[in-house]
Amino acid sequence: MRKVLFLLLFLVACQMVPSQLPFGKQQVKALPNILSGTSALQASFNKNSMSNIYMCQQANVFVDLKNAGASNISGAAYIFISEEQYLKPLDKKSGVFSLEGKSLYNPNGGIAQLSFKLENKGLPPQLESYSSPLIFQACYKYQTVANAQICIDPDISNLKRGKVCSVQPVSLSGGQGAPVAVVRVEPLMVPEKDKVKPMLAVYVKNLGDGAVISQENAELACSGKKVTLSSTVALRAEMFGVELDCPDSVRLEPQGETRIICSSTALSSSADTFSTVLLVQLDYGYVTTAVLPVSINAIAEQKPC
Amino acid sequence: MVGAPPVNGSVGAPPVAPPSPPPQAPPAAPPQITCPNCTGPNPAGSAVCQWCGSNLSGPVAKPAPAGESVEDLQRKEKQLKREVVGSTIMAVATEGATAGETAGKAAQLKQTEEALKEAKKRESEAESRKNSAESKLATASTGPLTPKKLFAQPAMVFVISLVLFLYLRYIKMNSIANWVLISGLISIIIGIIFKEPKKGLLFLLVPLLIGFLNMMNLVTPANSIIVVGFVSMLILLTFEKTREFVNKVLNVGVYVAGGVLIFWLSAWAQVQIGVSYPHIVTTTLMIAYFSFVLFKKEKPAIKFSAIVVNILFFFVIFTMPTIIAPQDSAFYNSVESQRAAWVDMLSGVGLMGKEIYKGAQMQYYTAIGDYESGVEAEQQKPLGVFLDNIGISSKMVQVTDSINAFGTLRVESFKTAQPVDVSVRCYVKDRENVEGSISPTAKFSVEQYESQDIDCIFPEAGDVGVGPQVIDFEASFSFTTSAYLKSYFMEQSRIRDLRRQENPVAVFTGGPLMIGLGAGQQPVALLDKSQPGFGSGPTLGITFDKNWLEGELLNVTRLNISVPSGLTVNDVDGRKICPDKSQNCVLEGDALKRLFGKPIVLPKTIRVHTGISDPALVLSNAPMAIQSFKVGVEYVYVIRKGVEVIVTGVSS
Repeated sequence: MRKVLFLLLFLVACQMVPSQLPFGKQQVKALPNILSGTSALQASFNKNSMSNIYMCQQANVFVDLKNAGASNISGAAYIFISEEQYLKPLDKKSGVFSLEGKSLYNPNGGIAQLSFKLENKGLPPQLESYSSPLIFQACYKYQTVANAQICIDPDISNLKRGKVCSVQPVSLSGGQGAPVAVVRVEPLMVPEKDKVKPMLAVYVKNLGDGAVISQENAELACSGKKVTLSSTVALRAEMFGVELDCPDSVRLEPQGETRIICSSTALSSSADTFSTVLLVQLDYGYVTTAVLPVSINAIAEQKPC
Repeated sequence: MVGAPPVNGSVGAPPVAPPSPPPQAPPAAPPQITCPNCTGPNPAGSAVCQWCGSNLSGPVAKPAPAGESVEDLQRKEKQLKREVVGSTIMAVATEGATAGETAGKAAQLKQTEEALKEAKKRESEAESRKNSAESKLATASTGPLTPKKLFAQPAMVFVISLVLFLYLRYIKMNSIANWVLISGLISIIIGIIFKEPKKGLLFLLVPLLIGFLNMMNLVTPANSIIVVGFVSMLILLTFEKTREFVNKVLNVGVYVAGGVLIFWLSAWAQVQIGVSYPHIVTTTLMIAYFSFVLFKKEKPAIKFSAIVVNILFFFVIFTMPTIIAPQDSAFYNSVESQRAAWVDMLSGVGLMGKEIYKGAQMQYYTAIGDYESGVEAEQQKPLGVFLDNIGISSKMVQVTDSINAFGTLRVESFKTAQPVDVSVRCYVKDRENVEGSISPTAKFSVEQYESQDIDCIFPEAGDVGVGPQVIDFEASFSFTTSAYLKSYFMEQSRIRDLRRQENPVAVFTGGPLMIGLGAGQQPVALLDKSQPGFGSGPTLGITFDKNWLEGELLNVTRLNISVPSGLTVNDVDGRKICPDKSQNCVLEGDALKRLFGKPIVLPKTIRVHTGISDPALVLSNAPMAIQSFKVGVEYVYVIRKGVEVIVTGVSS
């Protein structure tokens, strides 16, 4: 009996060695998931910005920028918009900036701060206080890269047994590190003569707080130049290294999901069922806006500026 | 009779009078049996009781002894009932073997029930005898009411009253001294009249109560009358003959004249405590009283009387307030303040009705797109021209007297660059040509937080007219209200796919007039030259409405409409009354008269059609521009408040 107990203790002690003793194996931390989230540029007015000023006073405001998405921002345009009759800009109101996106080496994404000076030019008659918004707008190009494990099954008659996978819709939740996200992929096996053509319905949605604009006019959207804006997204998809036949650009629905159909080359109906990765790349422009209500107050008996 | 056997008696019949104790049996007597009915001893083997004639042979039910109390009998009856039921069941179970016993118990139960009935009767008779005996005993202790006794006690009262009277006079408490003597004499008279001199002594409560009032400094004729009335009522309630009558009078009186009483008592209480408590107390009591009158079942004639009395009373109060008490007396003032509170309350209800109507009207106009709203800037600050504490030095004047009405003109927190000029007038309501003179001055230049006492004098009341008249104070002033509407402008090509902005709400400066502005869906689209409709700008809706509950807009003297840079005012309500392609449009004189009409009916909405002369100027090299529409209006506003005066006498 004593021998049995000793043996058990020995075995338990051996079990503990690798993980709990100093010379055991070290646990490796999981890599941050870069391709997740629905943000791109996060812009907010710093809390030290002067949102309450006295009449005729100057206001210094600061905008904190953070690229919380997985794509780099380069050559982004920004502009400060104010009611210039009451809040006159003292600095140049527009400019350009670039920010690195999230990566394995910079999992938080790039950050920056912009400053801007304004001056109040008086209040409307009979008013002691007046509130006017200061709008910060940034316009930039952005990219979404999504991948989904899908099943291609040319045997639509279901004659074969022991298939490696079954065709079913794939949901992609949590975003892909960009505001415009692929939310769902539905593989469809469409018979075409003796063959079967795999078609993929890709569902895309703007899950961010900003507005989607076409990639070509991205920077122009934040300028006073004449431009026609539309929420179009350029699309590219590939499967097993072959580019799929997709529309070049798609206009996103203002609300809800936008369905895009891509098709692959036709496969023989006798081909085996297989699982593969679908890669979708979306290119678009994005507009991020932040608003700071600036309250202007007059001191008693204060003379006009 | 004592100890004699009864001549007549039925078996089981309870004795009417308390039973005489049966004779005691000698100690060496032969065996005896006791009668179950009267407990009298009988020789053994006797078939009939020699004392009460009861049957001694069978199972005779024992009658309930007369000495037993009602409670004992009730207990016994209960027990017997149980036994009879049990015995009946036994008889059924034994197929009649115990039927005799059951019958005996049933007879016993019957006797007990009768005994209980008798006992109850005896008890009530004994109670009444006891009361009568107590009364006689009381009389016996004082002795019969002989003339000597009838006058001895009053004489004592008189002597005491006289001594007190003289003493109080001596210490200069004349009023109470008089009351002591009066009360003493009245108590003597009442005592002699009702032949109960002691009850007359209750009247001596009068000087005690008046002394108490005096201590509280509350002795007035009205209070004295109330005290005397109260004590008299107390005395009358002690007499059996008058008690019922007084009760009836009080009940009917309270039912019929309850509203009057509550109103008077409330006024009286306010006078006594010297504090004007919230009128809602009286109002609540009155509502409770009227609910009582409406819902209590009462003879139709009495109900009708109650309604008539109250209607008449309140008609008098509201039409001839001076009838209720001498003018300027505390009581009059108290009643008057309650009356004024009710009038104010009614005006408040009227104003509330107006507000509800205005709200509904606003909803309707908004629904049909003919009403633009706005938010008052700094509305938490009190702002306005007020006529406060409007009153009159004498409510009732002779035709030859002068009328002097007064009030306070108060101006709160006006935020204008220029001081506000206020003109004050006073005149007879609906006869503006009969004007009084304002003192010290009829024109004030007011800046901020100012208050000025004003008087309105009519040298001869006859000019105003005989009877009840209303003197109106009127304060008119010129004022400017401005309104601003922030708008977002954007090129049409940019708007399509961008999120729409929330429509901003116009802000207007405080004052008697509200200005609401609306410029349609935001952001405002700026069309390109190539697009159809290029050149047309947003339509600016301007709504003018009253911002204060009181007063009215008399006249609009100037209207200034200003649109953002790059926009022009094309027309106002379809009328080309503005300078061509101008950013500002100032309207005055006839153009305004035609626009607003006379008299001005509020709310009034006008629509200003704008044009876009230069979209680039609007945007000023930005994708979106924030610009404001501005409207300023100068106008004359008037507030009125009236006060009532009654002119008496014959007008020449």
